[in-house]
Amino acid sequence: MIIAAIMTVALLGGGDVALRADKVWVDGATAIDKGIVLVRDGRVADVGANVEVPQDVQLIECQGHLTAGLVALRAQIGLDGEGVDAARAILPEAKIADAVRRDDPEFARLRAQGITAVVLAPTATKLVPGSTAVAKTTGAMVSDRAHLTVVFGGSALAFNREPTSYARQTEMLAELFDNGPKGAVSDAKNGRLPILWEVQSKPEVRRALEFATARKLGGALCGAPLAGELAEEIAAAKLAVIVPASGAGEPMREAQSVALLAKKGVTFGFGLDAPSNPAQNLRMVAALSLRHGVEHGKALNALTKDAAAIAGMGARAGSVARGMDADLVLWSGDPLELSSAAKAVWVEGALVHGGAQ
Amino acid sequence: MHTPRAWFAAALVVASSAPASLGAQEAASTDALLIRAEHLVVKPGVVLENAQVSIKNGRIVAVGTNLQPLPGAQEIRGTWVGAGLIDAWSTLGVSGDSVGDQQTTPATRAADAFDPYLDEHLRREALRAGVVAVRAQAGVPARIGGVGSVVRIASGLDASQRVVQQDAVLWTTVGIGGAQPGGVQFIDGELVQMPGSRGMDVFERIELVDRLFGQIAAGRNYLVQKNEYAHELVEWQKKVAEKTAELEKDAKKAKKDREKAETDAKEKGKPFEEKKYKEDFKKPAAPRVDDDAEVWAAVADGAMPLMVHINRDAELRALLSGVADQARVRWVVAGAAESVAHAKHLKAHNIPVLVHALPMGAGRPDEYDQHDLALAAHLANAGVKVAIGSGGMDPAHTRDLPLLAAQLVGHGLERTKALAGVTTIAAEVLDVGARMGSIEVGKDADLVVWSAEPLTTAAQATYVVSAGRVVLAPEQN
Repeated sequence: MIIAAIMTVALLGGGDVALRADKVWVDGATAIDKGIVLVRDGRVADVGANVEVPQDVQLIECQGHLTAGLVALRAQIGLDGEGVDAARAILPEAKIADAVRRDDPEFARLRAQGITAVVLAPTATKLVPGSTAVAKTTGAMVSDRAHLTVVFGGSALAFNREPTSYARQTEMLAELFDNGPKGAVSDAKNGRLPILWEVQSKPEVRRALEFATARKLGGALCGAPLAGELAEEIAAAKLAVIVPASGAGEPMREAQSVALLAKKGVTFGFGLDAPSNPAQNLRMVAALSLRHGVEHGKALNALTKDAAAIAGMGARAGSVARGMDADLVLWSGDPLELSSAAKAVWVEGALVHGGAQ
Repeated sequence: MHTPRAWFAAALVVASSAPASLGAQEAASTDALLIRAEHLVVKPGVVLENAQVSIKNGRIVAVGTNLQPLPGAQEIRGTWVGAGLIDAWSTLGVSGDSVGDQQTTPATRAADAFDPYLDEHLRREALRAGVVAVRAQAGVPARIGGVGSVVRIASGLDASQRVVQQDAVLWTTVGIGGAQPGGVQFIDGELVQMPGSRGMDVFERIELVDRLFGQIAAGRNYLVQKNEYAHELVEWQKKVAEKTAELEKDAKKAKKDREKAETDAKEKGKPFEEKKYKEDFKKPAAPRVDDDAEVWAAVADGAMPLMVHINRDAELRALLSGVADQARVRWVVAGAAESVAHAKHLKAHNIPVLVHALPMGAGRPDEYDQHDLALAAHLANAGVKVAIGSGGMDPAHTRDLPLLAAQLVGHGLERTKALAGVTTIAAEVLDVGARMGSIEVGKDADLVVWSAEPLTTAAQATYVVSAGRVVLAPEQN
C-alpha cells in the first residue's frame, strides 16, 4: 500500500474508483478517519471506514481530506452581461439557462477551487427576471428552472419603466401573485418552484418576509449581507438565506450576521457572484464566518449540504453518501483552512481538476 | 516607574483561563514584560518549545528556555507566540484623499498623512488579527507616490513610538492605471462621445522606466554635487584658516607698515591709500537644496530602497535590463504580475518582490490581467525573496493579511515562506529588518500571542505587544 503524496491519475469518464483519504467528510457534522469512498457509474456507491472494495476497482490512497464538492449559490458565469433588458420588468417564463455559454473559462477557475455546482441567476435589475439554473461546473445543466427570481431590492426600480418606486414594486408583485397567477408564478405559489428573493438592505428583507409570510411562500433570501440581524423572523418564515461572498475586508458586522443565522438555525449558503468575484472568495467568506463564531461543521455545510439544499439539489449532491452524485474534492488539508488546496476534483465520478502525477 | 504590587498580581494572566481585562483603555505601560510560550516562533522555520521572551523599555532583551522575569515584570502566557505581522501594502490609517493623491512628489512623506484617529475600529480588528505595523503610503496610484513610512497601527502609543521608520522606501509606479473610461465631453460647444482608453501604451510604459533611471542618475549627480560642495567647503575653510593665521602672524608688522605709510603720506601731502586686501579664493557656491533631489540621492546611493509597482512583461524587461548599471540602488518590485519568466534575473540581482495577495475577478485593472495567486510560489521556488501585502485600496484588507497569506500557501507557497512574507521579508523590504520581523535580542518588542498556530483560520491574537507595551488583551474589543 503506497500512501501517495500526490494522487495518481484516476480513470476518467465513468471509471469506477475507490478513494481512501485521511479524513472523509460525509457532511459538516460527520468525518470518518481513514474513510473509503467507492465510486461507481458516477455515483457514490458506498462510504465508510470499512467499505469492501470490489476486485475490479482500483483503491487509491489519498493524503488529505475528502469532501463533497462545494456549491456556489448565485453566479453570473457565461452570461456576458446578459440581463440588461430594460424594456420589461416581469418575465416569469424567461430562463437564464437559455443564455448561458457553457464553455465559459470561468467554470475551470471554479473547479480549481473545489466548486462542483453553481446556481446561475439572472441579474436583479428587473422585478421578475425569470428562473435560475443549476449547473455542474463542467457546464452540464442540472436544472434549467431551479428558482423563480423575485426582486424586492431597489435594483429592480428604473426611471424609464415600472416599477419606479418601492410601493409600486410591492403592488405589482401582489398583482402577479394574487390575481390568477400562471405558469412559473403559479408553480412558485404552489410551492413547486422555490423563490429566490433578491434583496440587499434590511428593510428590503423585511418587505420580502412580509410578502412571503402573507402568502406562505418559501425559498431563499439572496444578497443581503446583514440578513442575519433578522434571523429570528427569517427562521419563523422558514426561509433560507444566501449570503454574498464578499472576501477579504468583509465588514465585521457582516461576518457576525452570518454567525447569527447559524445561531438561530437558519439554513444558509454563500453566493459567489463569479466572475466579477474571484472563486477563492467562497472559502474565504466561510473562513471569515468561522472567525466570528460559526462552528466548523456549520461552515462546511454552508459550502456543501445546506447549499445544495438551497439550490434544490439536496437529493443528489452536497454530501458524500450512498446514491449521491460523486462530486468530490480532495483537499490537501482541512477544507476550511485557506492554506489547503483542492488537489483533485471529481464531478459525477469524472476527474475534472488536478490529480495528475 | 512605580506600579502598585496589587495591580501586578491582577495582571498575572494565563491565556487559557479567564483573563483579567486590562480595562477599556489599551496600552497599559509596563517597563518589563515576560512572555511565556509553549511554541515560540522566533522566525519562520525556527520554533522554540516552552520558551520565554523578556522585554524591557520597548526592546527584546532576552529569548530562551529558562528565563526568569525581570523585577516588576508583567507576565503573559500563550500557546503560540510570534513576531507581529507587517502589511507592506496597506492603506490603513491614511485618508482616502492622500492615498489617491496623484500630485505627490518624491519628497511627499506618508508619515505626515498617517492619522492616528482614522479607521480606529479597523486598526483594532487588524491588531486582533495579529498585524502590528503597516507601510503608510500616500500617492499610491501616482507615478511617484513619495516616501512611505513604517507605522505601528496600535492606538495609545506615543508619537515617537508610532513611527518605526519615517523615511522607509520611495514608492513609484510604472504602467499602472492610465485606463480612462469613455464618456461624454463638451468640446467646441458640442457633446462628443469620447472613447475609453485601455491603459498606457507599451512604449509609454517603457519610457517611464527610462525616466526612472534618469531620475536616479539625476539623484546621483545631485549627490555628487553635494559631496563636491562638502569637499570644496572644507578646502575653502582650510584656506581661510591658513590665510587668517598668516595675516595674524604678520599683523604687528603690517600695522607698523600701515602707520608709517600713513605718516609718510601726511608729510608728503599725498592722500593715503589703503592697501586693499584681496582674497584670491572664493567661497564655493552651495548647490540649491532640492527636497525631491535629496530623496533621489538617497535612492541612488542605496540609503533608501526604491519600491516600483510594475506588472507587465515589457516594462519588467526594460527595468531588469537596466539594473546592472544601478549597482547601489536597492530595488523592490511590487505587483510583478508577469514576472515569473524573469525570476532568475530577479534572483541574480537580489531583488525582492512584494506580491499583491488579494484575489481578483473579472473586471480587474488591465495591468493585472495575469494576476495569479500562484505567483508567490513560483518566485519563491526560484529563490526570489517574496514579501506579501494585502494590496487593496480598502483599509479593511489589512485585517485579513494572515488569511491572504494562508491562501497563498493554498496556491503552492511553502508555509514558512508565507509567514516570512508577512514578517521577516516584509520588514526587510521596508528597510526595518534590523528592528522588526522576528523575535531576537535587540529588536523592538512587537509580538503577538496567538490563540492557535499562526496563519490558521482560527488563529487570532489574544495579546499584542507593540513597542514593548501591551496594546491588546483578551475581551478588549
